[in-house]
Amino acid sequence: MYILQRLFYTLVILFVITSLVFLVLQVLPGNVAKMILGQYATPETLKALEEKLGLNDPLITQYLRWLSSTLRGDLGKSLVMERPVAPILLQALGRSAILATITFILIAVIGNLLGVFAAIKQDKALDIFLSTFALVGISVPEYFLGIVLVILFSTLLPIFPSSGYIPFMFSNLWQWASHLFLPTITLTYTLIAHITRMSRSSMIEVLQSNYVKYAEAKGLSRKDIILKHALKNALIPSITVLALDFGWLIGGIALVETVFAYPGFGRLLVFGIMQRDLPVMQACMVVIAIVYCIANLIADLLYSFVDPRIRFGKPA
Amino acid sequence: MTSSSRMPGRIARLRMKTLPRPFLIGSSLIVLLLLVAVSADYLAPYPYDEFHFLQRMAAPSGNHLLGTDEFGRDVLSRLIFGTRISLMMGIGSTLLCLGFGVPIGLYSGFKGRKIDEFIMRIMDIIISFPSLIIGLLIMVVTSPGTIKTVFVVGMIFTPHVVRVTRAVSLSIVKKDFIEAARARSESTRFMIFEEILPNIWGPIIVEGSLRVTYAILLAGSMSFLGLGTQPPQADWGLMVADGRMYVGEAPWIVISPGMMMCIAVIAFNLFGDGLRDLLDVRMRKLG
Repeated sequence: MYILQRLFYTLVILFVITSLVFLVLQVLPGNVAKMILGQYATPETLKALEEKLGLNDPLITQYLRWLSSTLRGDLGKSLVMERPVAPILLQALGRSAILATITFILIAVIGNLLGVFAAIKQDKALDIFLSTFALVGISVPEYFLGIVLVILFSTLLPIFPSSGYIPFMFSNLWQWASHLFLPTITLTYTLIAHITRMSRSSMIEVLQSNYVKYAEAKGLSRKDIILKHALKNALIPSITVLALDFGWLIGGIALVETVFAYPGFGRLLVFGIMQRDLPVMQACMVVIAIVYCIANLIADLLYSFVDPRIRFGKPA
Repeated sequence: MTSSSRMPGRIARLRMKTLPRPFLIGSSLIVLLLLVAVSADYLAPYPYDEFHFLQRMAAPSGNHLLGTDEFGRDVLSRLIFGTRISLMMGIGSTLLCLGFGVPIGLYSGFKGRKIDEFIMRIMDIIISFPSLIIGLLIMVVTSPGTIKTVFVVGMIFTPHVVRVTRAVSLSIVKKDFIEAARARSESTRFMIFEEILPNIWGPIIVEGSLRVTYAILLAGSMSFLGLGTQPPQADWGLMVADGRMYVGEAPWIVISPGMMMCIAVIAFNLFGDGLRDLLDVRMRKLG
């Protein structure tokens, strides 16, 4: 039941967001017809095209038309590239998904590990070092870190390529991986602090809780206490942070893909916005909304999975 | 940290009437940055937009301490003027989102029930979109500029401030003195601004100083992508973007503004975190 309820809620939010996206983009000054015709627009051609595109229909008709074609997977045609948006979008998404997945696994695993270590060694040298490391991470802009890494690892020490993307093949595995290396490092380092800080503070809290004290009183070893009792509870809050990080990740991907000339979703989005390519923008916004909703849904479900109190209707 | 005591860290330090070191570092850096921003006209050795064509992309030297950029403009001077613009964007937009967010948050927390639910759902939806993307969308609709960036960043972060303000005001709303004010049938405005607000200044200031870090970063990102501050003016983000093409030949164009941005953000982070710890201790002491 809980799952169904969450699913329904997600669909409602998705609907609201996509409608908002449609509305907001309609407010753009200068309509699509003007954008397509550019400087060659004469009042007559403008009128004809507006008619053809159905721009004079009432807003609700336009909205329904857009909604139904979007649901059928028809995302329209890019005004600038003059090609259908859907295939371009899918390809770009696939490439960004590689970056996002690797980054996500890295921040989830390393971020939590660092946070837990810092908590166990609270106020010792390791903790202070890790806190400083995390502080620099949240303070450095993604694009600057990316450029510094390029200076270090492709100009001074030519180990990794500074930009671009190579399709995956077994024969050029290293080539493929080397193009991903600097972008993922950049994304990981700028995002990891959120999770590290969260897991550190929740681990510290758990270590001070009564049941840990009880376990200590029973004479359990420190290792057992941490691994069997503390860890599981300490990692729960980091699920939320991971879900929230999805929003950051999308912003980060837009910047990092720009810096590394990586032909993914982020760059397509920035391109669409800069060129005022309305169909591209709309499609990208819908994708962001969907991704965000799915991320939150997964977080909620994970939560209910690890914390039965939520599943059975008692808010934790 | 300090060799001083075996007492639990924070309290010991407070008792010694000294402030924690990170907080001190943060606040002195902020003062320094503000001084630079205010006295940019006197500090900068050259105008920020003066071309020196014979010294394009010159390495740092006595004449140009941080080198020159692709037009032969003095990087140090641009950095100093950039400090003014970047800080103005960061602090200005933070003040803006506090100005909008705090009253909305207070109102939402005070009213509760349906109004609260309604306001918070709207805030959730705005927060759910990546802030950089909203920023770019708004800026592309109209012609970008520094002042507009301040407004846009302020708008984007308003929901975050609303959330924090609402959360802290919820704990105050249930207190007896609010009940008393209700019994006296005071106006909503009076209760919100005269009764609740004075009790939550601490968390709001902490939120504000940490919000500055996000604001500086977001405004910088927008400038970096060309939709913030416009040339020939310079903020740190735009300077990084300009120098990016010449990173192989003249890395100093990029390094110094990037470093400045890191330093500023670290400073506000240290300040905000330190402030939170201090207020936390005080609140715990008061019970």
